[in-house]
Amino acid sequence: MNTTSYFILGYITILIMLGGYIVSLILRATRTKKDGHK
Amino acid sequence: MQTKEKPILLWLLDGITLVLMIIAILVIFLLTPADASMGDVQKVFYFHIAAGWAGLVSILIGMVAAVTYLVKRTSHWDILSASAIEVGLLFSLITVASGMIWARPIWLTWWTWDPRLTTMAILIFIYAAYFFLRAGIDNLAIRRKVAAVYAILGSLTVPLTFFSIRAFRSIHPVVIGNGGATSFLSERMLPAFWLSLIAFTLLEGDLVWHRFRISLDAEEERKQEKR
Repeated sequence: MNTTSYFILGYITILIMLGGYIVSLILRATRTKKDGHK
Repeated sequence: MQTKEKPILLWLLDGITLVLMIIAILVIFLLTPADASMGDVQKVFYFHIAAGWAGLVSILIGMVAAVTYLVKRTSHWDILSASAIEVGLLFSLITVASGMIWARPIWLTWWTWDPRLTTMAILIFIYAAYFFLRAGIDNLAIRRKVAAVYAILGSLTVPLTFFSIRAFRSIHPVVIGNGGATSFLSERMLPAFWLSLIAFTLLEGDLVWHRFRISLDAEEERKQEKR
């Protein structure tokens, strides 16, 4: 792989990690919690 | 379900953060030149440094909230502490993942036991254990107290990580201090650097606020169920 591929891979990884967390927040916000804050 | 109306300020923060993130990505991809020696992979630095900064700030917010909880003993501070530490852990993981991807073509290895990488790994392990600790204590008062003390002790890893490249021999570049970003970034690279730093700082505040509201709602529900 050349350095451009690593650059693209870097940003895809960062955006997937951020996106995954944001989706998890949206899911948690729309779910009624039964077990309280842990 | 969220019980309280989302504040206008949070809507505003969501919007500004989203716009700044998009602008930062466009500037990095389209306007910023490739580094003469590292090539395009150097561009990973913009989000790598910004995520590292946001992670450490978030963990320090978690520490300050933990101290405040021990003084005031109101659940809000414990919730803020846990929220900030969760977001701090996410940004720390992003820092390590992006750093590994940068290191592969530049250092010719995904990982090396350099002082900065080692102290960052310790920080991540300590704060991952923070959540295991919370989940393992059922008594709410004890959980909050133990978590606050643990968060304060764990925050010692923040200066350890930050100063590791100054105190020990390290191959990791020093970005903040020692001439700073201006010493190794050209004038055409600086807008991408500052934009990323501001966008990630706002994103960190935004995510902590959202996480805080979710936990606060869960806490309210728990209290209502008890009544």
